[in-house]
Amino acid sequence: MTADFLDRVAAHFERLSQLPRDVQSIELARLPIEEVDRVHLARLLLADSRNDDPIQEAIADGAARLHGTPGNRFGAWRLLDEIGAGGMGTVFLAERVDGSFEQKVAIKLLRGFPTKDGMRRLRQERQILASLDHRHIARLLDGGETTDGQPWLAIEYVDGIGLLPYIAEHAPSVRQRLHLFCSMLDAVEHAHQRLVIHRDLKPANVLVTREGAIKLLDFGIARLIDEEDGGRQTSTRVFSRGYASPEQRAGGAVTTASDIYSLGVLLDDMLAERPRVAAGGGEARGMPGTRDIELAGVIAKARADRAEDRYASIGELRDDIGRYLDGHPVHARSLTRMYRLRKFTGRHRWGVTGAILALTISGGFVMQLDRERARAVLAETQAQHALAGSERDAASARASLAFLTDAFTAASPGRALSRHVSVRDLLDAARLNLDKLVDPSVARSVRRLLSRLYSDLGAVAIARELMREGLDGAIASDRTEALRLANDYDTWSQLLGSSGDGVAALAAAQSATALREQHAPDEVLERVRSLKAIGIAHHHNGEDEKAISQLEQAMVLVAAGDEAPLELHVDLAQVLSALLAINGEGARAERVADDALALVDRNRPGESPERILLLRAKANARGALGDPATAAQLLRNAIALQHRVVASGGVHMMELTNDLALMLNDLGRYREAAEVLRESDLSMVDAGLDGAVDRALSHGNLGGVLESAGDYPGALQQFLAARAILDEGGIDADHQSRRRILRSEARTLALSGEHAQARHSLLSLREHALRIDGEASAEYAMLTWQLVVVAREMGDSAAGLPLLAEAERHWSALVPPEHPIFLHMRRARGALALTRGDLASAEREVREALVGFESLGVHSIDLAITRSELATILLRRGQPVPARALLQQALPILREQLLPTEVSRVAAERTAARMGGFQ
Amino acid sequence: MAFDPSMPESVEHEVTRLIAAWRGGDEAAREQLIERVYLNVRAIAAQSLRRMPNATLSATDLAHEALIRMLGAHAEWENRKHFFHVAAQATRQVLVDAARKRLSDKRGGGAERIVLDDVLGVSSSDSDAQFLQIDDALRDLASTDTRRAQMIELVYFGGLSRAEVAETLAVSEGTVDRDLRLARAWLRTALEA
Repeated sequence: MTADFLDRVAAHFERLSQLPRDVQSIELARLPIEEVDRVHLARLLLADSRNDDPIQEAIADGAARLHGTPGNRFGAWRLLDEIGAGGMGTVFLAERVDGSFEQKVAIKLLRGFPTKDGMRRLRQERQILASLDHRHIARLLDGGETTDGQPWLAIEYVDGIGLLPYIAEHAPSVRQRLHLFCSMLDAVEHAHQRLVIHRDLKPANVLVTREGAIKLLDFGIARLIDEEDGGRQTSTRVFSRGYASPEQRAGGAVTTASDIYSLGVLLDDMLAERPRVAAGGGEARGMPGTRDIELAGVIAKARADRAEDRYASIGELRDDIGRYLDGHPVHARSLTRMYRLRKFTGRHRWGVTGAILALTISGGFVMQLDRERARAVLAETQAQHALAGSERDAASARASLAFLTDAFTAASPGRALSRHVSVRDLLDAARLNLDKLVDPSVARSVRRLLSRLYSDLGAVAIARELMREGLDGAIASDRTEALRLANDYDTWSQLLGSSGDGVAALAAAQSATALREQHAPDEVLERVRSLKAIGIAHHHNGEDEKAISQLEQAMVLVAAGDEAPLELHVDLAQVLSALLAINGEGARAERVADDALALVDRNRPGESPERILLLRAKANARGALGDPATAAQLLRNAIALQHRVVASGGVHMMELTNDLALMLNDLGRYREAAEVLRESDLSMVDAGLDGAVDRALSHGNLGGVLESAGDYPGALQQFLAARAILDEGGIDADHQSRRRILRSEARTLALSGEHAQARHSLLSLREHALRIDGEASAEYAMLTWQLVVVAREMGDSAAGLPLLAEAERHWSALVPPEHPIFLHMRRARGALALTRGDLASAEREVREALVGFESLGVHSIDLAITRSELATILLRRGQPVPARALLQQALPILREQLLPTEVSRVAAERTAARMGGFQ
Repeated sequence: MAFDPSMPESVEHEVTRLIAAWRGGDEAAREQLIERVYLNVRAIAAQSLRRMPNATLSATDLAHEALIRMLGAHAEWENRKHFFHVAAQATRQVLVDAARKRLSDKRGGGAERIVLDDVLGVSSSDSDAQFLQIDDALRDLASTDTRRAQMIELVYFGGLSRAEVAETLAVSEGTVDRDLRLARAWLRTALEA
């Protein structure tokens, strides 16, 4: 209407607007147009005659007032005053809005604005930074985004003065300065152990409180505003010239060694009599001639140009300072010289190790990251531990790292910086070169390191072999090494356990415990680790009751003290809860999960990623309680949380969607389940997963759902793919994943008519299970039950009945009598009776099963199948009326949930056809 | 994705790519572009406050700053043209959202700020309401007379010259002059109604 009107009057408007006012109104009155248009045109001309521009003004006003919008509130904080501005943004002093307690914080408004992806990473990083808890680090207390999307951080406000002004004012002695420096080292070490690099250590980021204590500011914050997409972490803009390492200045990978460089420069500044103003490049600062030659050596080693020439860890640097303070000769100079004589240090670069580190620094703990980064974190953590564990023998640690670095570089020269470099390739390369290691103790330690990594990839056989060799003859010469060795025995125990040797697993866990008791008898955390390892070994040994008791003791210890990290607590809780759940103790399992959830709520309010694992544990508990509907809902919550606080893809998303699919499968919602599983596959692809076990399980689960729905060829295809992956990945016959897949495949073969093959396969699996799990195991019971299913499909009552009796006996020992498996057994008994023509027994058994399923009330699909089976029997007994009634209830559900090829539906459709009148 | 709007290279590249995709008919690319420009305009406004608390930035400045940051100062005209379509729209949206928020803050918990405004003698709610009225009127116009509405948007929110508007909308400069004059008059009447 507007366009029509404006187009209609445009020409008139143009002409009339050129005329003087009085002529204009005469002309207007003469125009041959409708009265409505004339009135409008008059108003247009009037509006046009004004000189002001209200549109321009309103817009200008709006733009101007845009500046007034940010307000002075940030979450629970109210800004008081601006206290500084720097490369990272503006800093304000703030207090709590509600005045609930007196606390002042520094609010840092980060410059720039993040994309959605950036925002998600920022939240992740904040979680990690918040976990830094050290008396010499200003704590990150809170964070969020302003309404217009600007990220901010609330940091413990430190009322103190800068490091260099403090020194200038108080003129502390050299020893006092070194003690201050050691406080800084403690803080940085704390962060490095959590894989957080400061990245911007400089005097402005070091404050001294009124009490004379050091506080480091801005840990890892440089990274928050400096991050590029995904994994690669290179230094780009945020660093301070003079304090930045050469690799940072060159835009290379930032590692813990970069912090060590900056600390060297800082120490230099601290020792200078008059602190100099930071200016110019690092090379410009000379070493004052009067400086103690040994301290000069320490500084020179810390700020060596090449990262590999610097101290390998903060611990090493502190040891040298300690030696100086104690009056012992420092190692820096002799070490430097010694390295020059060693051939390998001259050749290799830190390439891959550095790159892996670069990939991983953001990771506080594995759970928060997607799989590719998680593996890299793991690799680096192990390497760091190897270093930390042998600080007294730095040469050996360096040799291990040098070896790995060389091997890794050789394996993937061009791909070192790629996100998708396969950890498996790197490990294989290292493993094939093991015999190049001459020093037996280094060889052992590298073997153990590799074993841990292989274990994570699911290559149990290789991991087991490496750990066996690596532990053979290993001795701990001191406490640190003993505790590390104990951890390796834990891994060894788990490896033995997961390949079925429960007895040996228990022995290994006991070795770990003995080491800990000898070297750290009073340390609660070590005791907790021992209990956990022994508990898990008991589980592998088939003694879940003992396992649960050990884990419960560990929980008590953890709950009593306050020194256990929350992660350990959560980890224990989820293992315990899972164990309780698989032992039918759903209620206790749920309580453990609930308690841990409450604990997480208290310590990490809001959307903390720890909740995800616990929601999953709770879901499995609900599943064990026969409540898959609630379980599915909990899993959906966990998935949503994972999506918000961690990542939309990745290994944990895959596990969660996988669990959800299994619950939906239990609910008989097969099509939904298949859909969710395909999402799960997407997460796997997203995570760049190439672990054979994960990929195989994914195919296996999809196969299982397809089987339930009745797509047997599709299911068999999935199982075949799963097996091929396991073969390729070198996953051996003992591995649980392979046995589970073979079992499902055999069952599907039976359902698709390949009875002989199915029976043969199940019998050989059962023999295998008898050998490694024992007759009393769930695996053995499960296989016996599958053999019953085959006999039922074959109509082989003679073979079926004894098997059924056997299955019933085994299952009775494993699960409570109200477990649905017994109802399925009744169905089977009824089916076998039917093949014998014993219609009365058949009816009785199936009726009992039906009553049972009706009282369970959740498994609508089982109910429908049983109804249809009863209908078939009743029809044969000449009772078409009740048979029809049952089938009328059952058939719509079967048709909705199952494909036409599914065996139960086929049977039901056959009965329906015989009766007639069903469409 | 860079986390810093002042980091031009990859942003430029990405923006150019999105514009190319949009020109190729990809509507999703246009949506993405709008979202990015929107965030950028908002960040520019927020940053300029902190850098120069007393300076003011006009809507046109905002759009131009966004162009320079996201596309570079020497982008080719085809890209600039497409970018301005989006930038003008995003700037308008940022201003509308801010005005709405200020108004709703006044109705709800923002009591503190009303006092502040009164002290300063600025009755900001009037001009916010006025601004939103313009936005409404402009939307009315756009629903039936897209070309004239776009012209207003490009000139007032994008800061394009008449020659640039003519080229952008593929009409003569004379048409731009005539249409603008008429649309402007119409908008005024709509405001007074």
